[in-house]
Amino acid sequence: MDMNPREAKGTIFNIQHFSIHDGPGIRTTVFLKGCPLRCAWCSNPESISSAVQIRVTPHRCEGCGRCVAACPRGALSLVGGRVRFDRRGCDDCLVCVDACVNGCISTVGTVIDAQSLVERLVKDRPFYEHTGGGVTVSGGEPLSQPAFTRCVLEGLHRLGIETALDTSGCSPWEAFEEVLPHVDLVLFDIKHPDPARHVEATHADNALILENLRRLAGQVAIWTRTPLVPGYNDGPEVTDEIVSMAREVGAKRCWFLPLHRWGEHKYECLGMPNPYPAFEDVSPEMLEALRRRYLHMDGFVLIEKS
Amino acid sequence: MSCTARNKVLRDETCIKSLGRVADKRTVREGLTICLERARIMTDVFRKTEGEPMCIRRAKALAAVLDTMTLFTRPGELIVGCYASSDKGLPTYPELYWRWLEKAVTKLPDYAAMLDEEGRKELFEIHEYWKPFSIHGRERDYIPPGRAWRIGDFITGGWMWQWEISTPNYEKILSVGLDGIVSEIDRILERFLSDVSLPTERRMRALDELRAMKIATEAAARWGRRYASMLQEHKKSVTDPERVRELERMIEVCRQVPAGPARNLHEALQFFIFITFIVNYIDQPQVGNGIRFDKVMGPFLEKDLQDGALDRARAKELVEAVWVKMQEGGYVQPPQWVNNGGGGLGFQTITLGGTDELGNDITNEMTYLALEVTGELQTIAPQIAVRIHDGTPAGLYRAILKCARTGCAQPAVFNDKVNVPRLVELGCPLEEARLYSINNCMQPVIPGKNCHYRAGHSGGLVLPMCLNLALDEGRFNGKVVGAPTPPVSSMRSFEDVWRAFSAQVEFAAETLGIISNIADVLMKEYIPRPFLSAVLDGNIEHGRDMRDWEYLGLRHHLVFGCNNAADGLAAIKKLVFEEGKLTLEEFVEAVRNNYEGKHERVRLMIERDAPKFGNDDDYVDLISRDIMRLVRAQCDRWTDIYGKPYILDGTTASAPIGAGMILPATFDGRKAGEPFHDGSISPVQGRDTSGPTATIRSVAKVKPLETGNFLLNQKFMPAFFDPEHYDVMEGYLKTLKDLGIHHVQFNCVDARTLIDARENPEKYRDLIVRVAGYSAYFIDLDRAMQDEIIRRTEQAF
Repeated sequence: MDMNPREAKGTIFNIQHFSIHDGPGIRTTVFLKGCPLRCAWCSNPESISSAVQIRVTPHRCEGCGRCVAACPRGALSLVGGRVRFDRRGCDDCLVCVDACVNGCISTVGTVIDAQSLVERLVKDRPFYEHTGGGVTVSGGEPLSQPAFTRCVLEGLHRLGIETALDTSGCSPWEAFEEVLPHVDLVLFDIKHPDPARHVEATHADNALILENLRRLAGQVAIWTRTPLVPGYNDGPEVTDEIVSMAREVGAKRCWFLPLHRWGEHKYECLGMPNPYPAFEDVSPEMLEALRRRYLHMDGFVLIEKS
Repeated sequence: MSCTARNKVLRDETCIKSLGRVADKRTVREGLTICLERARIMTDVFRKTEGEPMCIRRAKALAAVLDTMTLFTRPGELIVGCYASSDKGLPTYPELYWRWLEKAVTKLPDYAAMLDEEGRKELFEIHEYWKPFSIHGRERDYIPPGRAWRIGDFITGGWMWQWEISTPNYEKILSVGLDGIVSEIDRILERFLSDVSLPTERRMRALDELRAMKIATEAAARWGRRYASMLQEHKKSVTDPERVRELERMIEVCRQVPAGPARNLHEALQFFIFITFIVNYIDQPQVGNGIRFDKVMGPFLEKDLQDGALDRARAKELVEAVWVKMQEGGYVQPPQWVNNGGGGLGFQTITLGGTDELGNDITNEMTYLALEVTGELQTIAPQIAVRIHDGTPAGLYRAILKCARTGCAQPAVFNDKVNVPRLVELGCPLEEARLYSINNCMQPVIPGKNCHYRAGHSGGLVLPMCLNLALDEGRFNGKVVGAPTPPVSSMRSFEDVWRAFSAQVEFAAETLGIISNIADVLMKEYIPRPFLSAVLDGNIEHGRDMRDWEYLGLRHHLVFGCNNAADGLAAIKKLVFEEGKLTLEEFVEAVRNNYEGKHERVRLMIERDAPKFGNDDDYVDLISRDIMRLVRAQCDRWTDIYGKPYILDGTTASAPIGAGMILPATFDGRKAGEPFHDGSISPVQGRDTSGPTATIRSVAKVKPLETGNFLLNQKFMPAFFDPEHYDVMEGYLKTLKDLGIHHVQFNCVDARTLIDARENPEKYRDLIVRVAGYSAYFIDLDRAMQDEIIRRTEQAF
């Protein structure tokens, strides 16, 4: 059913211009909120909840106390000259966000209509044209807001802009069907081929995911992407299986993205427990071994820099 | 392949002629001295030539300096050239100035340390002779009342005695040699001597000019042979047979050039350095150069490689030697310029790439060699400018990126799509416009032409200060220095503020023009340049000095802080007149109090709620455009002494830092002492938080052809220049070209910058960290992550 792109509303948390890692060329990546998976290594924890959230960046706090005075529920206090936020006492009235002048308390997540979003995404068009770039819709899981995502992708296609969908694969096939006519490239995450190990790290079964991947074969260009997590999916048996899955579905590229800790600081800002202490760092030796193992598939198997 | 050990040593041992802040601490050496040799010889000649025509006196003085100055060579160097009696010496130019130098060596320890007691005595004696003639300060006799104001030398008043930039016709002189130029002068001299149909005065003046050119050019031709003798003498003390062979080659080169034509690359490069040193350091302090290095030197390189006279490694070593030599240049500069102009450095610019007169790409082996040397040698001079156009080969884009990746902040990339039409608009024929090169002020000039590119001698037009004046009835520190605009209490709308601002800009631009023109007349009268005239087109055949006319009107006003002004005006418009969050009086009060105490609230409000240039927000971007249009209109209104309009220039070097240090708080939330933004159109530091493409979109709205010159500085993390992103970055550059961005300078940030960002996050809100599916601003990362990135960045170089 067609939807007025002015009325199709979605929640996004970031528009990243000049993206050079999420598909070919210079791209604009829009990140949607809400994700069915709970990957332990998530570098965008603000993408998980579909709601608008309050983020407190403690090192930006200058201890002025304006937010403490403004909060009607006493959820904020100053401890040692810095703000402390008790999320249990908060009812999301957001007056603290308005009160903060240091950029310390802010919201993550904006509700926007598809038409306005397309208007913003189209701005970097000259850059797409010289580089074979375009727009990548990412998340979270963009298919957790399927109607909105479709409206955005369709709007972009109408303007001749190449689109990519960056997905966890964990959505009903109907959602894929709805957006596919307007997608030029799917960036498809494979976390682990083994169902039990998949559940263990993501709290979700991979049957639907792998099923969706197989159904996508032949319908659209695919790049698979695997976050490479030491001790979890970096063993040769696992990576071999991922590579052969990518082959089977006719993926053009099979990416391995080494685990990084760039998102670690976000957990504290969102009041979430930091999962990273449990992870080992990706070692250069491991990357080198991986590179060698797939040397004969250079150009197909690709390893992002750590 | 990396740079050769010998040139690395020479580079590291080069005494960087910088007195203040320095670009690279590694290469700084203590013990700079003021070298009086040039001043002494000049003064001597001037005492002996009283009553002779000024051009003849200048020529004789230059000849005497070239004929008698101390020459020396540094161990291991392949290209020679001196302009002071030691490698730590900075020449001084008493015919141009004396007052500030006397003050500086008397009062400032840094300057005092550059002379011993005897030297100081001699300097003062020399000054005694020049006091009645020396031109800096003489403009005061001619400035109309109410115009001689100055704000720390920045809005007007501090007129400069340098920055004159014309590029010799290297292609011509390299092919005929200076002896060839002398023959040409002789021929024309003969003609003027016999042509009695000319008006007598015109004929006499031409004869004086031509005789002066001849004296100066002959002396320059002899200079090479003096080096040959010096090297011959030096060779006696050298035992290493390899070095002896090298010295023999160098002696042969110096015997040939600059008197005779250059026959190979070594001779061509040596020729170039001789001319550069004479024109830019010995005759007059002049920044610039503007040689199209690959176009001029490429054919020599190709021929030598073909003949087998040279292999690429040796050629590279020679080019390195030129870079090292160019890093040696410098002169004493006034204390205020030590902070803004980078100290004593005499910067020179090398231009690469671009087209011939028909629009065909000229990229050749030398283009790549020069970029390779730049990336590897990491000297702070010369500056490298690369022209891009539709026919620029993909390989050159890669070479640009590879060079930028080394963190040398080079090259600057110039867009033919803007520069060529702009030159045509200024009256340059298309074929010649296509031959443009970039001078040191990052402006296009036509090599070999009498372009007179010269900063309006009068300081800079600091736009945010014009806004301060507009909101204080033209007063600065209580004293009326600007146009008498209405009081704040009578301003009812944004338009009222804009009108007052326009009036201040108009007044300031006019004042700059007045002072600048006075300075030009003085320079024309007292500082003719016979040697430079002889190596520029159009002077010999008409028997005239380069100062008698100009080929293109490129006299410019240095304009800066456009976006500090734009952000300030946007803040006033939004916070005062649209949202009523504060009154104009409160705003003025906050600025007057440097946003301190209770006024901090206003600064935070600006920071949070007012739009900032560089984020693709029309609200403020169009204000920026209007400011630049306004300035352009004022420049067009005021012509130089040759009747050509002024242009505006906003490259500003490090002047925004120096000016910022001494100027009070401004309406964009900048506090007293903080720098203004760099370039002419860069966003204010740290205020472009929407990514590089948004910045480009903002900048593209301020059309260069409508408004003048633009310099945009963009900072990137080294990872963006990784080979796997070359395609993307190449596309990025091509997009800038199509969007009509005039000029972009990539700064691949180094570890030092990141450390500064860690400590001063407010200045670096624009620094992005990117990995797949994730991005963050550097300043938002926690310290451990920041340290990790710093560590990687250190490794990357």
